[in-house]
Amino acid sequence: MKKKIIIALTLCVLCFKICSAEDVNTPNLWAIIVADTNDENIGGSTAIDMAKMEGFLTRIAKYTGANLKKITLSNDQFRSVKLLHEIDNLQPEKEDIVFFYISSHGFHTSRQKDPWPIFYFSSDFRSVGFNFIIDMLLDKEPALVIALADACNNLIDKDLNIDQYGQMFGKGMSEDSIRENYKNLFLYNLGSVLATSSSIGESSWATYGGSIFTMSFLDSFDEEIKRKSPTWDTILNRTSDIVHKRQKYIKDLEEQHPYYFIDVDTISQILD
Amino acid sequence: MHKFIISLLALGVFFGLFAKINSVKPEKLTYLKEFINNVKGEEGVYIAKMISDSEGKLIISKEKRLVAKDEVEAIFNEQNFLFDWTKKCIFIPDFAICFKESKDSIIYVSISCKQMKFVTKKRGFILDFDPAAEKIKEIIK
Repeated sequence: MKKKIIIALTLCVLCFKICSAEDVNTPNLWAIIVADTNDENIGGSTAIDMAKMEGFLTRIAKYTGANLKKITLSNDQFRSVKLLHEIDNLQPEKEDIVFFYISSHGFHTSRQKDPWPIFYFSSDFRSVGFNFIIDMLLDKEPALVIALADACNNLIDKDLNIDQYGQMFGKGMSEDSIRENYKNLFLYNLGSVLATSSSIGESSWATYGGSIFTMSFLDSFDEEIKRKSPTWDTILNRTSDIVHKRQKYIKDLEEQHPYYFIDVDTISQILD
Repeated sequence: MHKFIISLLALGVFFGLFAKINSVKPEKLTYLKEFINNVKGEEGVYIAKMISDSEGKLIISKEKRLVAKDEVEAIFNEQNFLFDWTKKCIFIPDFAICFKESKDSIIYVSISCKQMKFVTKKRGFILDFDPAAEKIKEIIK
């Protein structure tokens, strides 16, 4: 009798495992979206950036099948301590994706040895370096880390392929192909994609329609996802081109040049 | 014909991008006009450096320089400012422009951000002065 119960229980566990196999294999998409929406000058732009990024994450989850686990920090939640606490609390598995995005004020100091900006949190008068955040995220060792920052990178000395854009390639591409492209970018790439909106010494521009880098990144991504064999390199190269093109509309505008670092291997490369 | 279609497409892309950027009508121009109206006719317009006090807090220096009338007019030119673009720069003022009569109106200037913060009792707003950065720097410094 006891033996039968054990066998029955084992069978139940096996059935449960098989039924939930898809969930077990489905990676989580851990996302932290941070926006300084309370700021009197850039708050409106960052709110639009945040809404666009939330839509982007929903699309990623839809097409990759990943379970979206999203945290948004805006308004009164835009605090350095809260952000670090949320990053610290992330518990991604080896197969998971971690996505970080911030739209805020930023700066750079001459003492820094890294190319990334430092974000300023006016709510608690503290600052946190993008470098520090990247290290925290990479230490979690998920399959893929994507970290994007739309913030100034200008120096504070106080202590404190463009013609391809818009072409109609990919129009009418099937949902299956788009899904496959999303999977290629998010599930079959392992490593890190890190980007910030401007290089050392430069400001980042925001408009009433959102921030220039964020708009350009999303436009570039939408363009690339409709193409055959999309790559992160092409997405970020094109992002720079679009940023440059948009800035040309306004005379005498101080230019911003997005800076990025991509270190990804596709699963097929790893298997080879 | 082929070239015509390509030109049409290029125009579409251009206006598509442009429309996206300027999709919301800015209200900062109205605020600026209101500010200029408030301080109109002021005879005493002064520029002072921002300095740190003993606690490290930024305050307006007591040493002030009177600004010539044509210089004031040059600063207030609407063409100097961007109304639908702004930098995500941390605004730390280097100078302040004060008014003798309109004591509640102050303009803080950040040279590194190329931005001015116009402050009145009612509101504060930041404008980027990139189109006239050199001219404004010359007047202020």
